Amino acid sequence: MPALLDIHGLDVVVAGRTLVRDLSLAVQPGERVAVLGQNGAGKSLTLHTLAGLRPPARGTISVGGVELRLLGHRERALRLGLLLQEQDDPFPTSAMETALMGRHARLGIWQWETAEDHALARNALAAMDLAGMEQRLCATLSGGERRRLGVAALLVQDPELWLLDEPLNHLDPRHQFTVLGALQRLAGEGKAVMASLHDPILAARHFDSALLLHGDGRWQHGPVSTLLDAQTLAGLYGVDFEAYQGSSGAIMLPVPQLPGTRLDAAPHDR
Amino acid sequence: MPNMRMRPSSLIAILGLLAVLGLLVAIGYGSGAVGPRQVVVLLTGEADAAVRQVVLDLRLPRALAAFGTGAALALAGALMQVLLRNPLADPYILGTSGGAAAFALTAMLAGATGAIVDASAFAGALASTLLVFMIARRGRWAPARLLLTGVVVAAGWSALVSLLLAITPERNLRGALFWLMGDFAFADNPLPCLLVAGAGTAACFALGRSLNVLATGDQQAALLGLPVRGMRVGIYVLTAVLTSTAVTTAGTVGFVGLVVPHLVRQLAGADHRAVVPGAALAGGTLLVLADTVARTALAPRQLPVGAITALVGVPLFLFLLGRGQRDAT
Repeated sequence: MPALLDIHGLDVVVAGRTLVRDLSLAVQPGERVAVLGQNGAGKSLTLHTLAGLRPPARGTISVGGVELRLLGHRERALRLGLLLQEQDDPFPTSAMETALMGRHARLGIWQWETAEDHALARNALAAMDLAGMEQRLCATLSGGERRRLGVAALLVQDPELWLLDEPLNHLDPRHQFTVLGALQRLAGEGKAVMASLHDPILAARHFDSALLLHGDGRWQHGPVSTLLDAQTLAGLYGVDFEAYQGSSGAIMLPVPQLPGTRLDAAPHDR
Repeated sequence: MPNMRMRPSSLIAILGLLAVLGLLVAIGYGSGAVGPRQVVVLLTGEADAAVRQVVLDLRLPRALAAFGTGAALALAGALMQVLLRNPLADPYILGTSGGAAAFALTAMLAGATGAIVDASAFAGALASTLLVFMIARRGRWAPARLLLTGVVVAAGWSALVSLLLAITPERNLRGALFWLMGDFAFADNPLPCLLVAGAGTAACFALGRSLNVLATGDQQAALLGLPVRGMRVGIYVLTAVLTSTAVTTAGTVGFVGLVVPHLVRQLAGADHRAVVPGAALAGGTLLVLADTVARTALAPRQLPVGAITALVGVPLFLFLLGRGQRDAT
């Protein structure tokens, strides 16, 4: 079976700075990839590039064996979906209407949503623990509810390749599992998932491989079990990590290193 | 906040009924001696020629022109609000109407008539829209920047129109109020604005789902499979056609594009398959009624209809601006 996502020699450049250099990576059906890196390391820009929202500075991207730039608007939306990091709602749109928009690429241009589409949207909202909120206006949802609504809309869109920009933002622990559980089911159905997040513990537990972006062009990719050790994470984030033994295996936690202590040690740095 | 909405179909039915009633009121009242009773007689078949002339040759074309202009402006406002993702957008506030007026007036001063004036108005509307949107979209999204740009550009057009009127040797052009405030005193041919508003409404209703998707933002819309750039260009052009047709019919009538889509969204939600026909019907009815007030309130003196719409629009605009700021903090 061909890779669902095939990246070859990709450069991600913004304002003359190369954030990612010569990235080559294949993501297979059923694989979940965690994208980790510091703020501003290029996680969002990389995901946007993979979704076709911005052209790659160099290199090629293929989705399901077809080059991304050769795909039309509709065809792209059928093959891949991206959860944006932020979504604002200037007009009084309801949760149901937002979820239904996931069907846009599958409906004819003049066509209205059918009862079947409504059922799909309702199920997706229920899967994201939003049952009963169908008629709520998006602007009245909490940050975490709005986030889950975004995932629900992607469930309705039902692409092969799932790109998610910080899908766990604003989510309480229970709802983090709601989303992570959905990603696991999708992988089981043969979809591919690539999600940026800031939690190496969740990355190690719920993803197959990790893509580490250092922000200066360097990147690393490998299975979470071997890649996410204390030394690599320290190199990635610029803080020390140590392993703690939990009931479900070792977890990596950052060693406390608050800015206050550093300023005390070197007041002239101010 | 509870989400209490009317069903779009009931809203459209009610607005359609109100539109018919509004037109009947408009042809039933005026500064002359012809009142509702004579109009009822006329509609049932027997009336003398004088009544027939007042109602069918004077009031009806003017009322239909007001309806078409109001529908075009409300639709233009709704579309600009989608393009800018901002419910404060309106062709008058953002200077689109002013650009159309300034270009049309320039063409008339140069001796042009008919289609050339219309084409100039279209060019002015398009140029003004592009100018405001290009400046406002640079950098990060900032509603204050957009409004400031639009208001400054609108003030510039208004000053240019005043200047052109001042250097006009003879008042063989339409009056100053027409270009600055809007007035239906010269609107004797309702056909262009009715056709443009009707076709625009039909097209936008058919593309309503795509408008909903575009309203989620350019990136989100592209991810959902919408050809964003083509759609945006189409809407820019349509907005300019709608605004310039309204301006060549009635001058610069303000705030219809702001007030009407806002009210329709409050009643029926943000789905453009309800907002588009709802705004067209309600915008048409609003201007028909506003023009009836303008004709009759101080009869035989006629008021500029733009002053009436501004009296409704300005308080609402300030209210929305205040609420927007509260939401942002």
